[in-house]
Amino acid sequence: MILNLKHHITRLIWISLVLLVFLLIAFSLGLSIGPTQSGMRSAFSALFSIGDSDSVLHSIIWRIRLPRVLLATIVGATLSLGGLVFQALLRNPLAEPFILGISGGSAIGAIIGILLGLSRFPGICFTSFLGSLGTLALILIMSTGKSILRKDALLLSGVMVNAFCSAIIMFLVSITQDARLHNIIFWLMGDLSAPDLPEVATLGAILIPCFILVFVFSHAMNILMMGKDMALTMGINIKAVTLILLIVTSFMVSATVSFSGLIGFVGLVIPHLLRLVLGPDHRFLVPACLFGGAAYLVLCDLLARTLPQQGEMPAGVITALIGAPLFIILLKKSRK
Amino acid sequence: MKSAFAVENLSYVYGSQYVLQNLSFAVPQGEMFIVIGPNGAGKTTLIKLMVGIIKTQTGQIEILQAPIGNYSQKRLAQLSAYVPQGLPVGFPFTVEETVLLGRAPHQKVLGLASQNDLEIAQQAMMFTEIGHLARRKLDQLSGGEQQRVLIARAICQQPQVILLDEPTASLDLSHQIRIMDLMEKLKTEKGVTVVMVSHDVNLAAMYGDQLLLLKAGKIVCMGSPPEVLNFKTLEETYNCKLLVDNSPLGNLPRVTLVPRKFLK
Amino acid sequence: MIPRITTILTSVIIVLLAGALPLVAKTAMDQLGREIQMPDDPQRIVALAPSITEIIFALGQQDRLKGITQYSNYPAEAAKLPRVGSYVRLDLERIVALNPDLCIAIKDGNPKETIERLQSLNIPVFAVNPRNLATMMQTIRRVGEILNASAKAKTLVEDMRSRMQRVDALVARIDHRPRVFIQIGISPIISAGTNTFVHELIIRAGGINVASGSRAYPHFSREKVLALAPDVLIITSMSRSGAFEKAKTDWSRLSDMPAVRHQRIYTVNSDVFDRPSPRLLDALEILTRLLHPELFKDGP
Repeated sequence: MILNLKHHITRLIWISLVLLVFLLIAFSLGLSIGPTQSGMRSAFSALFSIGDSDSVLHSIIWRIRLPRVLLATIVGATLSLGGLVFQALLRNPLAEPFILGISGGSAIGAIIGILLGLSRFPGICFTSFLGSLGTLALILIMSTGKSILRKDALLLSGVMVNAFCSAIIMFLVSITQDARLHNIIFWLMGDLSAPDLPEVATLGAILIPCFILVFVFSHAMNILMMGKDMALTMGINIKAVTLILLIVTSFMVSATVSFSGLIGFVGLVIPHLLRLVLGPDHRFLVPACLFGGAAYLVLCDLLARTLPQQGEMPAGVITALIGAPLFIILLKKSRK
Repeated sequence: MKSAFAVENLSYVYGSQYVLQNLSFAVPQGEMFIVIGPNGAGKTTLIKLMVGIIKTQTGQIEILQAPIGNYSQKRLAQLSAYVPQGLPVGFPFTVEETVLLGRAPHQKVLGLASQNDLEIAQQAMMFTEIGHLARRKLDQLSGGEQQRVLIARAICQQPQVILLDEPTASLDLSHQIRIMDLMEKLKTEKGVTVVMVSHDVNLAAMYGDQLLLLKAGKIVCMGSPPEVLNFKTLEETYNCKLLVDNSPLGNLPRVTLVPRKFLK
Repeated sequence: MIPRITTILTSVIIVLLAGALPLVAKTAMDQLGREIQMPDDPQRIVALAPSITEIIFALGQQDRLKGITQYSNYPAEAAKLPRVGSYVRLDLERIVALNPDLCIAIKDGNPKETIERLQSLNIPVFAVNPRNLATMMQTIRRVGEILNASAKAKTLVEDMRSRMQRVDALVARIDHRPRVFIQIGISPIISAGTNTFVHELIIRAGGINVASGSRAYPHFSREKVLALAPDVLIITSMSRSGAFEKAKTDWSRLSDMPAVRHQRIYTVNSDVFDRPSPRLLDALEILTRLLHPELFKDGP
């Protein structure tokens, strides 16, 4: 029996709930664990007693851990959704914003913003977005014949653009004499520690409408699986949908890059994993990627700051260390 | 007679080459209209123009008595459906999910299936006899089964016109007949106008109400099968030796290819 | 009679109350011109750079110190103190957990964003900006003031000043200035330009800094260094002596370089040379000996 409306909505709610619980568990762990041993109970009591006089733990939880875990949630959701969208648009399992160079372009824009001394919002966010649009345009132009959806061409141009962006980033880093250099390098590898609560809240406020927009297009992405021609005959305005999705996704990704640098493999691994479990329907995959990606990055960040004896690793290192082998395993599984 | 399609002075250029030159013809409603001709004749381009995948450059296409440009993409999808030769490799959905996709032009943005949608999909699957395959993944099916799924999907669009691009290419004999019988059933039971491109001249002869013979982007001949399928026209068009006689099945032309060893 | 007793009693009460009052805040201007509200008598200080740790120990105020950065390796007693990350990458949570009533930061070292976050958490941050020996001595005076150790600061600075003057007097007698290249980075080769401590040390020690120029930390190729023909080549080394030996061997291949011909390639402790701390005077004295050994043959 085919899924009808009621079943569909029930299934959607179940999936969202399960992953939401996952996310909440990850969130709690992230809040409770850190250099200051506090344990989950005191962490939560500090969280919920606003204006309490035990101000040290309160400050730590509210001003340091909460913004960080919240940022990991938002960035994880964005990156995995970005991967999902690119994989749908390009019908290529290797597509994600990092591999295609969109993140690289955003990083170049962000570094230029940092060197110009702009504030993170709106200055660096804006330059980062311009950077992502620049690489997006470059990729599209390089791979275009008549169709902007010719899959392999897009991926190839993306890989080239990514290599080019990496070279430019290395160049910018090498000529920076600043004391800011160290921080730029660390940020480049994925740094979720920088912003405070208001900034993270602003980021969330900007991105949530983007998430909703992508969800609205989730069935269109299903139809796109049939190919560009077929989707046209089904009444989908291919050019508009593709362009909107590409721009919105680039915007989301560039916003997160300007906050937290380059974090890869989230957009690659999470959609694949969820597709194995939940099937190919994007109406389920979109919310699943949001919650699943968020939980994943929160946990990766937790590892990044607890594994090393002193200091912390960049989050991007952990996602790569876990993501690359995980992706290979997933590939093998899906081949069968 | 109301026309499903009315094409006037249609030309199409790709790069510097004329793919179609000055085509004018009409397709009556409720008929099976088959486009035949050698490779490179522009048949696929013509079908794509008629279904709206490609935008017209010069000339006019009217579908259901209104210019094709007047319809919104969505409205067009409610009136005409397209059956391609196959779907991209790695298409991940099951048979029933694929068939349900065909309801999209009649659904809202998220495409959540209503009871009505489900019934229509169910009927389409019964019509094409694929009900037993409902849960299977599309890429696990044979060519003929896949084609039936694509047709079921098209039927879900509840179109008045259905366009097919070489639906029987690379299918085994039993499936070839099965598909064509399906199209005939669609035409007679549902009154759907069927427009298809075919490479098989004999199938075209057995099923087509009207044939359109294309060569190098120009119309060679148009009419009923006996009118179009005379051996002189065919020999010149296909540039090979042929024999045309009457089919034992009835008042139909039958085209036989003549291998060199039989030439005197 | 009664009014006089009242006055005396009131004064006594006021004095007693003043003594019993909780620690009042004071406002001090830091070396970036910012007005910082901090406790009168800070008891829980976090030093955000190794040089600041050294200064606080030198002022004898280490009891107030509760947290230091990772590479604060001098003096040895500092090893017992908890670490709060490195000075370019401060660990905010560890700092906050120490519940500091004052942080002392260094400009062009600590990232501005982290400082701003500390301040938004209501932790006062006093910034210093020692750019040369003179401003560094001012830094010591200012830190001494806010830590209520002005007397010690004064003594320390006077000692530094007299050492500096002794070197000045010695150097006044030289008849030539050797060309000096101080290599602070091994790969790539990096030296120090005009607006650095290293440059000032070279000049005061009676040398010529061949790397002088507007760029603070210029990069060099071996060729370029050869072309500059330094008489003395000094490598400040943070890593093991193995690295210095290798670097020395590499330079020794360039037999045309005066420093190689006269075998004047030396290594010094980079902590002493790069940090704006009281030990800079040690660096000055060491450097003077290296550049002008002839000044010390007759005894210091």
